[in-house]
Amino acid sequence: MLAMTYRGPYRVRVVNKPIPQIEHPRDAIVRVTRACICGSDLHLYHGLMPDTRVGQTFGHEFVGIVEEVGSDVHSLKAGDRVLVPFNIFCGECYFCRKALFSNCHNVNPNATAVGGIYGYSHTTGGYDGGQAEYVRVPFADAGPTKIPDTIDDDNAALCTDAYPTGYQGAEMAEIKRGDSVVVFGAGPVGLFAAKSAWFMGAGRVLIVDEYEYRLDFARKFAQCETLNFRDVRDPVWYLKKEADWLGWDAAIDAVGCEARGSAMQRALGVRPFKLQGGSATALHWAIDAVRKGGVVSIIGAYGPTMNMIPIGDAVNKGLTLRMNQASIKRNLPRCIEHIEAGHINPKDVITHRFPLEEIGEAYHIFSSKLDECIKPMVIPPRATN
Amino acid sequence: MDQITGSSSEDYLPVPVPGGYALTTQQRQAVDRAQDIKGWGSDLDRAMRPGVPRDKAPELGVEGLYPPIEQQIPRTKIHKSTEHPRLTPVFGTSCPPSGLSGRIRDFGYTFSEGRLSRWMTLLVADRIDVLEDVLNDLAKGRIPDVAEEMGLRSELRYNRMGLARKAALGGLCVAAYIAYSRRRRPRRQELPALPARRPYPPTRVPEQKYR
Repeated sequence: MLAMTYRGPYRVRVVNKPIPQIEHPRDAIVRVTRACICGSDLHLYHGLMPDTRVGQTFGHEFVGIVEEVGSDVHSLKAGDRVLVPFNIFCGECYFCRKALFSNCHNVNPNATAVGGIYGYSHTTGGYDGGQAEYVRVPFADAGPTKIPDTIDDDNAALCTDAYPTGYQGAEMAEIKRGDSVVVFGAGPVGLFAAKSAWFMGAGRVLIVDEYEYRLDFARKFAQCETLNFRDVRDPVWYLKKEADWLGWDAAIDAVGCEARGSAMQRALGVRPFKLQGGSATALHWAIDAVRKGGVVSIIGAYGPTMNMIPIGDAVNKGLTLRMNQASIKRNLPRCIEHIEAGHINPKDVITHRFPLEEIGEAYHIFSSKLDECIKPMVIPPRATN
Repeated sequence: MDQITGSSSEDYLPVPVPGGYALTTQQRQAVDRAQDIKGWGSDLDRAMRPGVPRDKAPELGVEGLYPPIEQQIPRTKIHKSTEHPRLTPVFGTSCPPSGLSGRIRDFGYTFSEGRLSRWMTLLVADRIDVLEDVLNDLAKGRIPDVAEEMGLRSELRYNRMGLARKAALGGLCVAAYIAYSRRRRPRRQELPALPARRPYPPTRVPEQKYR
């Protein structure tokens, strides 16, 4: 089968790999019909995630058709159209029973600090991902969800990660009626977080980013205010002024570990020194921009090891910090209801579609923000619809 | 956009941010966007949110950490964190460790997850893995198509000026390095003439007698 493989920082290659096999009675093999490239895949692509091995297939946002099931799979059969949440989880352990599906203890032998994720280095379990024609899906009764007939494959692919992740980002911000919310990052997750903040009754939503085309899109898609932080000398001061000097009720960090805006953070965390787990500029601004007693929700991805953040400011302001990798399946039913009700059309964020053979171009365009790319989708050759 | 860095009672209210509008604190407490944003307030009731309450299940003890699930049989070496007392019942089988990078990863996994040494060791192993892959390709007679792997065709299509700028900067750096290294090393004709060779063995100097 054709599959994307990592060859080194900024290098990917499409090769022929053997079709994955059933390794455990609860596995299923899914033929991929749609896969997306996530902003967090770029951290792998840039070589920032430890234990990213040459030859691994990335891709944790995919939907497809079940081709084969193991002997202990009861809820799926061959031919079912499924969306597969990016979390791999057993559904039975201490953490899964608390609906913390992104923190499953039974799927990642390489680290206890994070659960299992498809195609996200050996730090998250060493599973090959969905930017390929076929993928092995462990615990097929727990994770994969049959796609309702009302949802097409493109929308379903956005429901495997980006949309429920943005939703959880807004939910962790503990938004109450009329609250003011600032979202850092106008990528797909930030856009969905901003939109979800409205669902939760926010009174005011503002998105911060540096790319004008993304801010233009945010104004149309999420109907929110925007701020280009390159236009102001001090973004935090400006945000405080915008909030009448009170500060924002909630801040959502939807940027993660490659944030721009501080040369020092990037030099120490991204290039060239890599002494911290990425650049935490967006989180720094979120902590400083939010009001005393406010909430900071962290949904952006950060790598292992430490980061420089103003924890003293968070302590002195009495902030609540909530964070996690999104528990997709927990949020999925509500997210699908919103799509069916016409409140949101997630596939509007897809700006580029590539065949799997051109995934190198896809990664480069997405990484360099060329051609006003917001979300690229990859279509394998055996996708029939 | 002007920023007023001073503070005084004469400061005016913030101007509208492009694409939006500014609300005063009083105004935003009472706002209701139901009429112009589809779905506004549909999750206002916290009972409609899947993440509420945070702990949804009855309390489980530590016996719930590893419920009895059939064990996947490892057919290759699987690295295990020191913080797992046993191999997880299910694990990924992609890219088993091999070569020098594999040995370095073996060493990295002897550290616990809280140690920077673990993660830095794994990053070093990643870089060596890349080098091993390039050498492997060359040994098989394959020269990696770096332009395709890096997606440089799209750079040519969408960002020619940027590509030209990077190429010019790269060329400038190379030229500067060559110029610098030439300045440090004196040219052959400027080298001082070597002294004439002394006869060997050296003439013995008679011992001085000191008064």
